[in-house]
Amino acid sequence: MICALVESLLDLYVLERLISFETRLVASHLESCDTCAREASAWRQTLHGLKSLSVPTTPTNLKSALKRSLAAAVSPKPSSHSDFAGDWRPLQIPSLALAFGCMAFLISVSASILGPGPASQSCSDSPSSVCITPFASQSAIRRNP
Amino acid sequence: MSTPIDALIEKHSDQAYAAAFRLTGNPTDAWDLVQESFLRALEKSDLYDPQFDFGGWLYRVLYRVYLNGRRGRARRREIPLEESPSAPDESLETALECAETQALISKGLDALPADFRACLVLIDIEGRSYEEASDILNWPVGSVAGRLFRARRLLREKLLSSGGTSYDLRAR
Repeated sequence: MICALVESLLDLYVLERLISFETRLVASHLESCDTCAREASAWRQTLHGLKSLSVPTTPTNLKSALKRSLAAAVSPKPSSHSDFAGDWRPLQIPSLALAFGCMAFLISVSASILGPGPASQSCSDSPSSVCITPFASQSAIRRNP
Repeated sequence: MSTPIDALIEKHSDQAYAAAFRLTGNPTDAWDLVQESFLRALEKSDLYDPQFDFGGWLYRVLYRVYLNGRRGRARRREIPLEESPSAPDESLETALECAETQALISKGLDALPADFRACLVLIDIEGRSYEEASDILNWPVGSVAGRLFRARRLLREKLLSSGGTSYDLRAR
């Protein structure tokens, strides 16, 4: 039980980041527990090893390569199209989409305004015709005599 | 003729390469990361506030590029981190032990997820504070502390399961 508690604090104990009560608790336990003492030693070695990891020197051609790539990135790219084409082509797709949207909106509005038309216009006097009146109930579907 | 960009490269590329190498673990990826970070910094130069240090800002960009690039992608590891040169007054045995420890740690670092590794590099290797790491990684301090806690334990597990001969590292 106490070992599990101490083990969770060992890295901070090695780094001296525990408060005084915890430090005393861990230190007294380490004096009596060989397993935890070895674990603390392993933590000390691991954290010391992390700090002493070395980095190779920067490659000599890194800076020149960086300068070349950044210079290429900031210089304006030559365009194969004319200035006019380069200016308006990016706007082409949004403009077409807007025009299409407006057209669809106008069609839907006009369809809702005009509606199906007066019922009388669609009724014929012939005996075989069927007339459907929009303002009547279900029995409005009537056959002309 | 030297441009302002050239001056920035001269001043900050060494530090950026060191950080990139610690993060990636091999020279090729470190080179790519430095180059990508400088390019990204140039693209986002309108976001840079000149009253702050460019190196710190570049550092943030570098870590962001690293984490974004590594997220959801299998990591490549070509060459392990180089072993530290031993001090002249160390005995051969101590030097070999140190080299073995460093090789084990490098191998363990390679196996860590990118965000865990970033926390370990910033705090345990570079010796930055939690607040500085939080600022660079743009994570809350609690997230940094939690990741660091898990990263250390995961690294210890990797060291325990690795085939080294150092008794201390494999305490149990």
